[in-house]
Amino acid sequence: MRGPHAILTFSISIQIKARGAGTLVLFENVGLRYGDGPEILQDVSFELAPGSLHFLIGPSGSGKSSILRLIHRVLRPSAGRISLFGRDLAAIAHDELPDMRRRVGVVFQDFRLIDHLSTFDNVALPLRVRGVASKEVRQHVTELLQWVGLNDQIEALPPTLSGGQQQRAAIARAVIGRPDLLIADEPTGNVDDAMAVRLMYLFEELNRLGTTVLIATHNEALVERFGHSQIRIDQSRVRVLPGRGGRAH
Amino acid sequence: MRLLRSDLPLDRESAWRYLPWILAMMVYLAALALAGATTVGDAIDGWKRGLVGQFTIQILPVQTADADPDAERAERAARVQTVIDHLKTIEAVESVRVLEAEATRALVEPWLGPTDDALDLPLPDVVAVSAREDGALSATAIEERLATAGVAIVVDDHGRWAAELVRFGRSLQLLALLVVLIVAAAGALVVYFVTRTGLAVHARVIEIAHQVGARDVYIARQIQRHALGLGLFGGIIGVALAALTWWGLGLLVSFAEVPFLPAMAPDWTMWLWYALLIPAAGLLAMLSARRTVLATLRRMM
Repeated sequence: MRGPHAILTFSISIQIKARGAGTLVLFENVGLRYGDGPEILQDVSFELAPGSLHFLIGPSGSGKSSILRLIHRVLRPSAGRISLFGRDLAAIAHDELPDMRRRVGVVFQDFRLIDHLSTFDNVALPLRVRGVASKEVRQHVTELLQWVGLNDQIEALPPTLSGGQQQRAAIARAVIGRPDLLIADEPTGNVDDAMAVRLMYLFEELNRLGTTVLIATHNEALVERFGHSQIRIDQSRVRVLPGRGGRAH
Repeated sequence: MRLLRSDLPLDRESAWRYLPWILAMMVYLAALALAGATTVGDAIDGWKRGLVGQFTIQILPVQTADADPDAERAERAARVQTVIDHLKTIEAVESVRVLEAEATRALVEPWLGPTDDALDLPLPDVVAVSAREDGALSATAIEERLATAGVAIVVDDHGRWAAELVRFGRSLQLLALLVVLIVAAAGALVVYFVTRTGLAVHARVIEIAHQVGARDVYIARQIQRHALGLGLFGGIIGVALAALTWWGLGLLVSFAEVPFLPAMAPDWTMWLWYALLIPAAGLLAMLSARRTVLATLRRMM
């Protein structure tokens, strides 16, 4: 079996790689509330440097998923300012959003696989929307599915996959386009420990290749084991704790 | 692997499934309207050919009490000859023909019934005049030239009738065109609603596609391609049914022997319209779907 490095070193010609100095994600005094409800996030400020790997930690309902959705501009903040790749997210026009999203890989907590598409087609979707040639799509998707252990489920439909298999398919879809930023919401929540570790290696490998990674999790053991920088949410506020390796911002 | 893959399962959706049949009905109506317009156009050409440039000159009889019939006949013949002589001096006149008395009686028979000498009805002598195609001949010009002949005449310009008929025919053609436009608008509206329904049904898939970086046109392309296929299918069905209907109508008309009705056999113009209607239905469905998707997604995001 080929290693993650081999899998992830393929090049996608149309992808724009704009790695460099500066801040990749910047939250400045961000607040979030749904309608007239209470503030889920209050005065949240943090930044992610390019090439960093962070865990986003907090109890259920603390707003981890909301932060990820704010980064992906699925939600808009009720206060403050969010910058992504140096651009104010609020100022990004409708037509610019796809280019922005192609630079961000997302693993959703509910996987968000398309039920009537095969595992292969689900994972291939980010490449297809970029217009990547079929031959290239087939090659990359097949390799990645093999690495996440879904090579025997290529034609299977998501409803026939187990929770763990769906999660791996969702992760494969998030990383297939070699994103500049990967945000993952509980990516190891439905897999066993061995697979969780293996997936973490995949994220680290991506990170080594230059992708900034933000993983929302409540798996403290995993956080402890890998020792990366932490963004902790507690009572709507955020603390940033440096990691052991010193790689994180 | 499918030749044209799609991320949206549009072929499983009932609203899209009925679309080709609705479009077929609309294409059917449009095809019949166009066939009607083409036939009226042919009729107009026929009326023009038959009536424009044709004049009838009635030489009114002069009644004299106790006149000698032979002398009266000679006098009538002299009046007719005078008229013919004057007409021949007009450059725009191509031919002059005197209608026989029998032909004149036949003309009035539908209104007056059988006439004969016993009825003592003074019928005028009738001279039919044909104008040259390039010549500008009018009833006024004929009247002015014959004013010097000293003969009481009435000039009928058949073209005047033709003008009325042509105007009526043109109105029918415009009406047919209006029907086609209304049908096209209704078709576009149906595609709009079906597309909106499709977008609502597949909102989750579209949202996921957007989240992995799909542009609106990526989604629009899949839906417009589907709409194009259904539009073409509906077009073929509609045109086939219309051609059958028109053929049947032509058969009925050929048996009916109704005057003034043109032949309703499809000619090349009609086949051309029919051939154009099929891609037109496909294009209408495609463009309507594309526009709906792009406008709706822009509002949604």
